[in-house]
Amino acid sequence: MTTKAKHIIDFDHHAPELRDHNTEVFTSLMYGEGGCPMGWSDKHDGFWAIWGYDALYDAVQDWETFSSGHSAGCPKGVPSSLYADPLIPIDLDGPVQQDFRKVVLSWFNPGHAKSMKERVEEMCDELIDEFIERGEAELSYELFTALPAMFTLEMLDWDSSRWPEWVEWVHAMIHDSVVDPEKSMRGINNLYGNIGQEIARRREQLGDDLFSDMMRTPMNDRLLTDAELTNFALLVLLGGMDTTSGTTGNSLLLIDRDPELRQQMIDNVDSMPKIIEEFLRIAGPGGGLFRRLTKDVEFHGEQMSEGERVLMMYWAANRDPSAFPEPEKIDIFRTNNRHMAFGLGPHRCLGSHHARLMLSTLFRGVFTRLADFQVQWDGVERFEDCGSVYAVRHLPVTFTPGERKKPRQVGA
Amino acid sequence: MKVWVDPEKCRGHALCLTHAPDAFEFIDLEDRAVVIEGAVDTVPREQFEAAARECPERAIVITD
Repeated sequence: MTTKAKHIIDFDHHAPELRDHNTEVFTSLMYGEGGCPMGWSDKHDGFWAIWGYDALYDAVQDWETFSSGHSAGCPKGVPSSLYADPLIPIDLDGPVQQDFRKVVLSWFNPGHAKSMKERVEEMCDELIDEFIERGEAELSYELFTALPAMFTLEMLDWDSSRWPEWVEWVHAMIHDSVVDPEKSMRGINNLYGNIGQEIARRREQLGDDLFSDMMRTPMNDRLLTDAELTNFALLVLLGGMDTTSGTTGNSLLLIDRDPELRQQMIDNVDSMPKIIEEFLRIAGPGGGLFRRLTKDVEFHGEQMSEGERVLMMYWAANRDPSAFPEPEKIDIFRTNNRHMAFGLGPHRCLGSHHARLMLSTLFRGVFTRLADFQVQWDGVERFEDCGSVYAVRHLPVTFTPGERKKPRQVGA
Repeated sequence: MKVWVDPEKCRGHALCLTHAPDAFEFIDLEDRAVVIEGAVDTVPREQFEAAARECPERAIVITD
């Protein structure tokens, strides 16, 4: 057999260059040598990165070759993930992965998201009420981090007022895994410990909530173990607390720099359910998910070997000119917008319907109530490492003060 | 016109419900969409085409 030399790239998904200049990095990958859809980086003991739309589409559909499996002995992250047990169901493959999804489908289908519309709108209104009279706000903490975090905790029926603690641990687990592993590990341990307490509490009295259903719904004639519940609930928190907020923050920063786009958003607030798709494409939170090869395979012109790890660069594929004409242009009326912000194939993001609802609601809230917001760029801070999730930590803005929708509670 | 959602390809993104709300419905427990019976006679063709065009899994098949 003749072996072709790998297409080598000088690329590190944890490097600040990707965070600060992702357009330039993607462009150089896309238009690099021979228009390759993928390449091999020697960083972090070596890994493949796939950024071409068609190649990534093929990879995500073939779960038997591109495995999502993860364990302490065979971790799939790059560098190796700090957590040991597989998150459920994202770190599993095949029928068992689908079986776990079925346990919670009644809480994650489009109908459930629709039934939550009024509640999400109410939460959004109340959060904006808290700062609308001030004419300034830190939109990350006060709005787009708070809303998805509180909503996630409400679905689980955990104390939603504790959202800042949960968010801090989730952020440590996701964003500090490479830049500050000790802090990240503390976050992970806090998550495990506090989920364990929630399990013990709920065991005494089940209710009408997602978490109770996870505890009472049999999967193939047996209930989930405490370990499975922990790793399932942990994924609900990770998915719920970091990604929708990331997309919102990334989008608002782009819109702040583009007066014409801002006006389009204001003029089309009633079309948000369609408009958000363009922001999911161009401002989605990332491409930090990995797969591992289960066998040697020739794939899109490259020879890949069993055991090699593969970075699925959804956010780069979403800007592949072969799939999206003028990919860097933000066109809120774009058609043929088959983006991969929620992944594709059997692992399609289970929370995507709720994420879309929250994103639509947040945009509608911002572009009806503080549409003239001005980003205070001196105070903008991104999470240092965008290797897992590309998101904004602090986003201060000023705007013309407005009126509350609900009067302030007396005595509050 | 015939419209079909390939159950092997559909992964429940539900964008067809956004683009053609009167043409598709969701089977919650199977996490996938299907065409509503009779919708091909009442829903404009452009809506079906939009749903097919925006389906990220390319699961919607339209034939004449």
